[in-house]
Amino acid sequence: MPGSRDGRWLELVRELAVTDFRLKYNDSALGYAWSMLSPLAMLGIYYFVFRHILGERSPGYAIYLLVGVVYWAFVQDCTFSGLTALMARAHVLRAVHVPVILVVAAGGLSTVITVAINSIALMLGLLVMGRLSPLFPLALLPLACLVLFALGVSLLVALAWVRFRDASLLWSVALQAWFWLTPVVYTVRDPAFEEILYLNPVARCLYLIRWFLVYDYLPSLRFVLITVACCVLFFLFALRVFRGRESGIPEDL
Amino acid sequence: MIEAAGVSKVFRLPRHRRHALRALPGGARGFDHVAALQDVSFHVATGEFVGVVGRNGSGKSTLLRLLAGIYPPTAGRLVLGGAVAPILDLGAGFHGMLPVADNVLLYGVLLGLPRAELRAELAEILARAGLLDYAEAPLERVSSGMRLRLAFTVALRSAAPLLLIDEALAVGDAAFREQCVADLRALRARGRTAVLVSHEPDLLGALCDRLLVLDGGRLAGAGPVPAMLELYGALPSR
Repeated sequence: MPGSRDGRWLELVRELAVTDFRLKYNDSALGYAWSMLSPLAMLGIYYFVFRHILGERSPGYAIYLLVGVVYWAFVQDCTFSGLTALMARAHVLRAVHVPVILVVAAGGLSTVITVAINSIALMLGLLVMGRLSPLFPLALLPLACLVLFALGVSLLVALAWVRFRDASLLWSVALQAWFWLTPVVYTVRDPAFEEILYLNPVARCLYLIRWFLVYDYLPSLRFVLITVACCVLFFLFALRVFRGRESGIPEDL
Repeated sequence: MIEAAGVSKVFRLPRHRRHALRALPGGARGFDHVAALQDVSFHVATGEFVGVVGRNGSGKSTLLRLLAGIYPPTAGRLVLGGAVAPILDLGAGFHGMLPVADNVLLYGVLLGLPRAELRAELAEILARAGLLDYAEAPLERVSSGMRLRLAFTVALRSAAPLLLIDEALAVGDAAFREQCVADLRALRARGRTAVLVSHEPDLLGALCDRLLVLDGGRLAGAGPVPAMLELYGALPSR
């Protein structure tokens, strides 16, 4: 019964993702508002530091920063979600036969729910401020790419953690380095440095999201296609690596 | 139906927990190999209830996990005649903060039960577990015995032809136990197959057609319940 089996897996991912989402916000007084408040708090801190201490003078810097912070928060949550999901559900994976990838996917999905809601809030905010570009529907493409790329990383980080537990600590350090290699909080004026940033798929996605959401700028088709190809291929690569090692995971948890 | 031929399971255990970096790919000396099951062969016919006995660490739980598809065997062949209902770690996946009813849905879906069916039968499940008045209460407010009872009640709803039960009946009070035994007998009468691990001779006698005896990961014997209990009692202690 392959049909009903797929249906069962879909039901399972949904149930796990919704449970994760509810658990995350269940006991906190502000509930879901936290997932918006924490990027907003980071926004305030970075804005203060960059504007008033480091002298960032780009016009519209607050909006530039806002978009960056919202999507970086997603990259951070999503790339950790696979590892966290395996950690939280280790006992389930040793008690029931469920494809491990579904547990990881459910963890990722709950961060995707969050970024979807936050994106809508962001767009409404931009609309109110009169800064929403008419190109905004196009942002769905780089957003989808960002999601695929982050899910791919989440799979590999989770797999690494199964092999050696230090991966979780290493990943938080790597994430810091990656943050500074992505134009989240700073603007770039040096074209040579920009070329280097273009090697980072998250930076490419973030450029595209900003251009489409705010700056009303259409980049070359080549830039878009390379970004899509990078993210899709990376995701497929990560998926393949993970599936190849999946069956051995429960006994190593 | 279950057919196991020469099944072995070797676990790789990290040797230096404190130096986890040595377990990096390529750090070859980081692992110990432990044979949990060695060359185990047996057959379980459809409609049969087979018990597994053995000391702690003899490989009983590993065997059930291999049958459930949770661990792949290191060597040997394992053929199962149908879907499996694993009743291995009762209540794995329960979340104390969520309401009882939601936990029923989550646990049921984890065990492969259709969500719509669970919703439709929710009241009946809660009533059988004695928790009808607690549907909306957080699960952590319910006693641990009642929680296991709930898990067992949900697990028994599975339509899978093959049940795998790991000491699940050690939980609950006498009345609940009797109900469980009655439920399992009813399932047996309907032609379901089961492999159950237990340390209780009475229970094994009441439910099983045959027993397998595991000793240090090897199959020491397979046959009628009284003879195998005798063999188990006579195994040399290590």
